[in-house]
Amino acid sequence: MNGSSEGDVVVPGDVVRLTGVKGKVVLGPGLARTGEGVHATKCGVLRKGGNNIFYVDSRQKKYVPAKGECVLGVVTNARGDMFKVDIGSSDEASVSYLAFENATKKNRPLVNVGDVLFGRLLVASKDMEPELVCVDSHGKKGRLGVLPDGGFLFTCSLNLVRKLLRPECPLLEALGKQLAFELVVGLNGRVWLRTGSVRETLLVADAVLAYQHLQPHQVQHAVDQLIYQLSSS
Amino acid sequence: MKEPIISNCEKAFLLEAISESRRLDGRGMFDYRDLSIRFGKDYGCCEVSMGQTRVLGQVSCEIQQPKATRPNEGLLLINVGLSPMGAPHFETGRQSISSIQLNRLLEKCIKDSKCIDLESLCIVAEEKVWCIRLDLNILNHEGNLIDCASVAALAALSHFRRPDVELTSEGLIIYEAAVKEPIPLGIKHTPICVSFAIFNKGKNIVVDPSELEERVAEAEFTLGVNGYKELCGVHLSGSTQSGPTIVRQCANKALKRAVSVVALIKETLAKDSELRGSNTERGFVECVRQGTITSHGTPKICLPIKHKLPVETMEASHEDESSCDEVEVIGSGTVELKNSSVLATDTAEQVMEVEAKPKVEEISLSDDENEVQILSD
Repeated sequence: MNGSSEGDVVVPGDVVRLTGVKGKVVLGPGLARTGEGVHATKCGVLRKGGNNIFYVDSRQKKYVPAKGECVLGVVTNARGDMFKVDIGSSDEASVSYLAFENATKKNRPLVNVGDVLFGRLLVASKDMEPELVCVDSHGKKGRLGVLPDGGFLFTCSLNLVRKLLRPECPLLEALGKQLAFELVVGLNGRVWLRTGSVRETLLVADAVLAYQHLQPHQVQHAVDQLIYQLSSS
Repeated sequence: MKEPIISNCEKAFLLEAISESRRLDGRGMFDYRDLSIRFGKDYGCCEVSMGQTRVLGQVSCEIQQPKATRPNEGLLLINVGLSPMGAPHFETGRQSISSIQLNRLLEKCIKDSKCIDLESLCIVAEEKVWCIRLDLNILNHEGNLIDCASVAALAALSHFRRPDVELTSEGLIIYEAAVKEPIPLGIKHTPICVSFAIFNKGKNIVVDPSELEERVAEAEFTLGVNGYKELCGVHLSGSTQSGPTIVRQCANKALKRAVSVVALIKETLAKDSELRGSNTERGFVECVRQGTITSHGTPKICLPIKHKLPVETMEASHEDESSCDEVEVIGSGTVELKNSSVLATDTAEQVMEVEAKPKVEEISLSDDENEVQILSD
């Protein structure tokens, strides 16, 4: 077997041939090293990023925690000094009650069961329970913390959230020109959305979910249809 | 595994939307999801789906001794199995509250209403009777399991045929299907369940609730009704301030729904017997939709967009059955997905479209020059 090269569809176990690179090769997600060679560990299309990064572009819905990622979680237990948060991974994450802005032993943060938190993963490994913090290294909350009332939380695939978080997302730019909305995207496949009314929220949520299958040139048309529907009812 | 918690904002948003008569998946308050019934190759095998909720029913029969209290009646056993395949929080074996409730409701609706003629299942009184066993498996839980399971139960029982038997002086002969045509069960009437979710102290009723709606609802009202508009069972779980108006409203809707569902079951049964007679290909293989990528696609929220968008969400593309994707294998290790439909602009398919790269010359890598670094998994 020659092995798969860039642009091929691979399945786990396929031997991968890294062509056209001299020097250091970086293996991205979905690839693993076996002795002398490299093989794929996920199903998808083998892609090359930049000059020397190879990875498998695969689709996933189940979140696997990785350090440094910002995720949306729902608080399941708010007693004691560690809150338990469900982030959609196999284990519940924990947040210390001191990991909020201006939190001290006397000044506990106002967190209840069922609240939605936006936090950064401090500890995330295969062998340990993940740990979140809602504050950065300077002690400032920035965009993290408990999200306010009145929004709506829904789940989507991990590919969609990565697509939304690209620097110039055509959908969010087009929507932002016409509507006022607040959007928080967690890398664990959860999106929190708040607009002026229930109808607007439902329409924007639908547009965000449909964006997974939209091409960039179709985005403007889709947004125009959305605005037309909003104004016509 | 425990059931995942619903956040306060989801609950509040859903209640607010319901009070404005809006549902998250864009249906009307009294709109049902698409109901489809598919029969398998064997008699008594049936798969029913209501939107994303799917239930598989299988009927089997055995000869057993009858109950001492009813020596000339056959036996009917109904079992609903909740496995982790349906939802992550289901556990096999352990009888959870929802599994007990489901089992009991179906028993009430089907067994207690005496819709199957059990006396015709008797072979030798006090010694041998047919024991009909109905096993329902929940394949996917997306709300309204009761309705889906009851339709699967009824369709499977109506579809089932038991072997023909003859009692001779030598003993009991059970004829094979090839020798003597098997006999259908005697079904006197056709009961199904229709569920309603009640919100906001009885002010809003919703038909065919989805999973989130079921969990947020204050009460769920289930009515068992048959094709002749007769009541076969009533059940209310939860508590709500409701008066006779709600019950009357629900009953009227349930009657209409039961009539249309029973008509659909009969129609599907007729089509299936036609197919069996004409000896064409049938069974579940034919029901698997060709040409659509079935995972990762369906959005949970979608509004009925009045003006046709060029965008096809996964749910919309399911209806486009004419678009058949051909999979062409070009060389080893390369697959090209060709979509003959004009409308499908699915980037999923675009991503999978791979041009066959001509494998030209071998590029030799000298091992000492390459360093391999693993970034993340």
